[in-house]
Amino acid sequence: METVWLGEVAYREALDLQLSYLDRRAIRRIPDTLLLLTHPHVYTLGRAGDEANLLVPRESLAAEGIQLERVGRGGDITYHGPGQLVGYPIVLMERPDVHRFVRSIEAALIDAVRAFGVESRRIEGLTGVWAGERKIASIGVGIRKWVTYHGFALNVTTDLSRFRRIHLCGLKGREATSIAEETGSAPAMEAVREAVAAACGRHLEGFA
Amino acid sequence: MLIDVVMPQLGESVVEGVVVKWLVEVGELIAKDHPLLEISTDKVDAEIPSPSAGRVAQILVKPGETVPILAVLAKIETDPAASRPEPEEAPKWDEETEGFPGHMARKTGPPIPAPPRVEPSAPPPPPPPTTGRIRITPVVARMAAEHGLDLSRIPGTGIDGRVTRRDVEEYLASGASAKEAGSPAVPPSAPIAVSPRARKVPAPPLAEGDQVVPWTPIRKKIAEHVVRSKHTSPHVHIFAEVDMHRVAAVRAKEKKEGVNLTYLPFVIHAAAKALREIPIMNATVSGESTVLKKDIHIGVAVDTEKGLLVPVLRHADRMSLKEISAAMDDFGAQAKSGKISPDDLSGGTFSITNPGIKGNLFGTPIINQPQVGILRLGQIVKRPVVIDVDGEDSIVIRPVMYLGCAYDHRVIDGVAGNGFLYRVREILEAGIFS
Repeated sequence: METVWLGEVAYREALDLQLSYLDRRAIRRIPDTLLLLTHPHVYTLGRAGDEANLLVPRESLAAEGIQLERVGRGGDITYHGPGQLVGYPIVLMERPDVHRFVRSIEAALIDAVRAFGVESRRIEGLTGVWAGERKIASIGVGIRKWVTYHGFALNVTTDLSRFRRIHLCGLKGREATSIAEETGSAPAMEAVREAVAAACGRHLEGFA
Repeated sequence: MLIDVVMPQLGESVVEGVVVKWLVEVGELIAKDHPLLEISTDKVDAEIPSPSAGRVAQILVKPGETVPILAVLAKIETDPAASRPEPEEAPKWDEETEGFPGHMARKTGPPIPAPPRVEPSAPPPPPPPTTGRIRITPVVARMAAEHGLDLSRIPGTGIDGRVTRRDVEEYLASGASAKEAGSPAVPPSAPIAVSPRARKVPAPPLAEGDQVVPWTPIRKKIAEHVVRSKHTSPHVHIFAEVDMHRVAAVRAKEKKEGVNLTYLPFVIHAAAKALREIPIMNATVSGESTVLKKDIHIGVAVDTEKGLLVPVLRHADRMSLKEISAAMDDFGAQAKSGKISPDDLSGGTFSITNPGIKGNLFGTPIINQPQVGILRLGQIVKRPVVIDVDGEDSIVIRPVMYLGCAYDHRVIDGVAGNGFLYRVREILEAGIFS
């Protein structure tokens, strides 16, 4: 799997990029590719998402220059911003197994954060990666032309107060955490990026 | 040739998916791999591409429906020579019934004048199970079996009165099924619809100049909440006439010292004290249990530009009058600037509503679920009242308030409910707030 580091990319722009990778992957012009990047502050609401899970008025976000985007992925509301590593695996699924794909992303992230001293796990029925009872990574996958897009967001040094303004993924009483929060020390984004790229390379093979 | 588009197997452990939306219409010409519809499973949304080029002949599943794998979702006519169904004949989405007219009743699609053809190898969908003469989908059949429901008792809102998945969900949510299972001797009564939308009532005709205002998310939330509350809790409403002259005296005294207090903090203070003494009023309902809450967190309804908000005063019983007043002022300012934090809006154990300066005599408030009680302030009006002065009946002028209270009779009986309101009144009339 190829990995591309894109730096900070606005949400909509990143979506266009994903779709252009997706189109080329669908006709097999490129191999499976993992796009790694960060987003400026943005709240995104999945197709089934309920705006009521945003706990502050839209206008107050607008006043701070933060966007609320409704997007064509599964899942409810989440937050992206600086200090959070976002990964969009563009993977061709010849014989789709969407649950195995989601479980594989979880496994890759569990591996990746362990290298930084964080023990994490899955919780049955709650997609994502959890350190104890707190969510360290969110996952939401879309499929078009049998190619995956959207993906995961791993909190490295994310400002966690941003999550307190939403019912995370539509779940009341669920909190977010980050590698920095769990370990008390902030790892370099480049180091996390490398670890995540390596783990995804191991776990996201064999879907084509 | 007419070929089936079936719900694909999206993975070993995936047995069903929800149709999110259709991306094509009946009659549309499409290329192979053209996206037909979006399916949602767990946290993955997938667009399903067309297995073949052709014309969309039939769409068989409506958005929101859960379908098992291999169920037929649509039919594609691959023969360009086959006549195109006339637009009038094409099933149209019916907003009223939220369905395609007659699509479950019709065995074949729009008439296609072509010689008999061999159906492709995809397995046909299982015939819809029936209960008596009621046609239902496999999902509804499964739900009915799981919950042991008699579908003939569920009012169907689908085509031809068909019972839809939503009908079953609402029926289950209404609790009517518990009655059905628990006491079969009870004669069937019409289950109560809990949807805030009166779906069975036809929309009144619009006259010129009428304005249609779709509900905002907050409006929907309030609508859903109040309907659910009225349906869940048998509200008992009681009223007390409270002589507020001692409260008025305390207010006047504070005002001289430069502190402006409204009547609301006094009522909050008195309620907190009474809640401490009568714990059943400071409770929430969880399933078939009552949770007596240790802490007293009073939600106070505030009308803001964004709509009705209920900020919560945490540990209201530990706050002084001035602290309560200051906290209410803060909430007011935060609500106005839209900066009220989510933590401030959750976790209440009891509520108070105050119509404010444009209030009225009394009202019957709706309980804020899952709480079990709520107080409502009436207007404070000077009235002649009869009091005892040195053993003589005398008429004096007093500021009087009718204080309304609703309690949930599932949990609270008259003794506790009346006792609570009596105690609040006693504290207010005694005028001691420390």
